[in-house]
Amino acid sequence: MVGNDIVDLTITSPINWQRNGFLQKVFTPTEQHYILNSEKPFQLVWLLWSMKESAYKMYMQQGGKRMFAPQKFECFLEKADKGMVFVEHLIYQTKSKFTKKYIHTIAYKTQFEGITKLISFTDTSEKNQSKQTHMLLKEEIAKHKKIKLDSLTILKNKRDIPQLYYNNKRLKIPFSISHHGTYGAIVFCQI
Amino acid sequence: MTQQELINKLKTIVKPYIQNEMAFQNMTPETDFINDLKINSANLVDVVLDIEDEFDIEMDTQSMEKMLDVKSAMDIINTKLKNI
Repeated sequence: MVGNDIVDLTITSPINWQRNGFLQKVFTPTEQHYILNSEKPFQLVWLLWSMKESAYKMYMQQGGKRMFAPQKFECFLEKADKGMVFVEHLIYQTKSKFTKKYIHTIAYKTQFEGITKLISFTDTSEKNQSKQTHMLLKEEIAKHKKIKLDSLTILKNKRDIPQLYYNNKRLKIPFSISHHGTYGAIVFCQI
Repeated sequence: MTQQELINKLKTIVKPYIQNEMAFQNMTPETDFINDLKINSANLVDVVLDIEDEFDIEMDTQSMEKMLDVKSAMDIINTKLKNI
């Protein structure tokens, strides 16, 4: 299984996280301490956020309960781009990539070997962005697995988790989709 | 406050963050903030903070955990208002 999350830094204005109460709602006291003592608090806020989100996506794939509890996903950073997220009895590894414009994090169990692709949108409609990221995932899977693009579909299961089908048969390729602002991202494991 | 008034107040709160106009127009207690209204999760924090400001209540982490749909938000607000 794999999770991922992208944050478009150009649309997350500093006002958003500096808003009274935001840090307390989202981060543990330790994480707040990291942020408030950081030279780049803005980047750190969204780095930790993307770690939590990507871990949450994995947690959901593993049958976790749907909830809005960012504080329950406790982040530890080993390096600027590598970390761990603890939730309940589970531990996830994370690796992140950041530029001035975005932060992208992948969450995985022990190691991640797979494909990552980012997409930049001109269209801001959520529906179209979602369609485009789905298409990107299908194209990449078709290319790497050498299978027919037309026979691939993505359907959500009862728990709202997207799943891949090939000629209506479930394909067990772990993948994760995310989009935010003008960016979309897909990751999948090569097994 | 009637339940319809409460829904209307919630509608005003979530309006800046929604990304699905149709689901927003037809918002009911069953509407899901993320799956239906397509509110991104960072903005869901804003919704929580806006609810706190609007109703002058404090949403603890246990309440926030359930903040996934309109009905849960209404339940949380109703319970908190009763206890004031």
